[in-house]
Amino acid sequence: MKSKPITFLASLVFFSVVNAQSDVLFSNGFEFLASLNDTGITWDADNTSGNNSTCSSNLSSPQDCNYGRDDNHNDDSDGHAGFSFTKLDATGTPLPDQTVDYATTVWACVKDNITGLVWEVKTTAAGIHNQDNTYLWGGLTAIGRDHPNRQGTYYDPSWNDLVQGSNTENLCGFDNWRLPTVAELSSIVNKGTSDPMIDTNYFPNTSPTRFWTSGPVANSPSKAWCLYLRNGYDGGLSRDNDFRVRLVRSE
Amino acid sequence: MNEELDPKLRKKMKYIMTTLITLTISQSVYSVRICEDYITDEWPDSRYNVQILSGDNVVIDKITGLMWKQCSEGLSGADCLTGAATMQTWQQALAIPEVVNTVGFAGYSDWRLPNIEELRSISAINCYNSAINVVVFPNTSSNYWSSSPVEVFPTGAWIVSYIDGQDNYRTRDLDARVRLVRAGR
Repeated sequence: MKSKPITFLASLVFFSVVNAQSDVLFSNGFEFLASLNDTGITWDADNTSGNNSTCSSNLSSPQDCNYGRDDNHNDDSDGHAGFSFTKLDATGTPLPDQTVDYATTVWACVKDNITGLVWEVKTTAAGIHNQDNTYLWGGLTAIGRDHPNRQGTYYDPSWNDLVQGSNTENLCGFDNWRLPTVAELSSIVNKGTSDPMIDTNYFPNTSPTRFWTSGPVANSPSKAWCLYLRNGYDGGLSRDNDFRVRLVRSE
Repeated sequence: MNEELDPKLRKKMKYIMTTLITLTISQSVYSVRICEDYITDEWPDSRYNVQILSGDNVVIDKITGLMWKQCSEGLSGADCLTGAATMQTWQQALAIPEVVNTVGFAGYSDWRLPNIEELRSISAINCYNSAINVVVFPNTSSNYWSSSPVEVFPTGAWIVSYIDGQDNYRTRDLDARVRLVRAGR
């Protein structure tokens, strides 16, 4: 009897320590993000209210627009400001004329020359790549899907046809298509604009709505991370929502 | 009541109370953080290099190449437990780098407020409370300012909350914490 409270406390302490350390001891590798993209913001803001149209205001302190590729590689020839994209046809060959518009010549993928990621381009044609296809969260390549300790529901068939179909057709020469992480999907968001917050000269047929990412939400197993292209913010929403998807692949 | 207790029992109760209080304090500092092993940890210790340069602690992210101040503004010491985290409006936060760069930190004088993509890159969303690697970035929680204003909310700037790693808007005249960054390569 006497030792019970102490044993209870000791086990609490032990449990807490094990919990706190588990992430450090059992990490299972990571993907390379390589260089970060800039944000696309080429204008500055007043200190408390109002946004300016350019980066030339006489504010005392530098802001986002004063640094990075949007400042030192601000060249719209390969994507808005600091972004650098290459249009690829369905075999993965860069279009000879990169200035062509989608109505004249379609392209199937975009390579991001900064991050190295290759992105699916949505289509107006019917089929697995159609811009209006939506999915419940949790299909192939969703993080944790095959883990024994996974939490919450992983829906099927979800986007399985899109992932498998893209691999089978060897979309743009690749067969390792997957859902992007929040950070990856956010990397092509142009936070300097809105509706949709993406360079539509490279990513046409993009609905200004919510797109799923591969990530489950750690503190709420009924949710997964998505990104809202109307205003650019990420967040967790219930996995049983029908949202859009844009596939990515990396080395 | 107390006078009637056996001194030995009182001593034991005191010990239990002290243990409970200590446990409560240590819980609030270390143990409320929870990590899920089914979510890929893209932010392990091995991703980061903690260095002491000119007596100042910095963290180098080997993937992004960015160099971060290990502690939030206002905090110092090996575990960033000395001092109190500075809470600033966006305008005040934007002015911090100039002050830091006047004297320099870790031998550098090009420190700046991170943009929202940089700030997000250290969000470790396999964990919450805090959603960041707290071994390399100790004592990190709540909201941090980025240098990025918000297009659709012209009274706001982008922040990251390291409670869950999420980005959001925050009204510019509210307070948040600051962690400075510089180009690492």
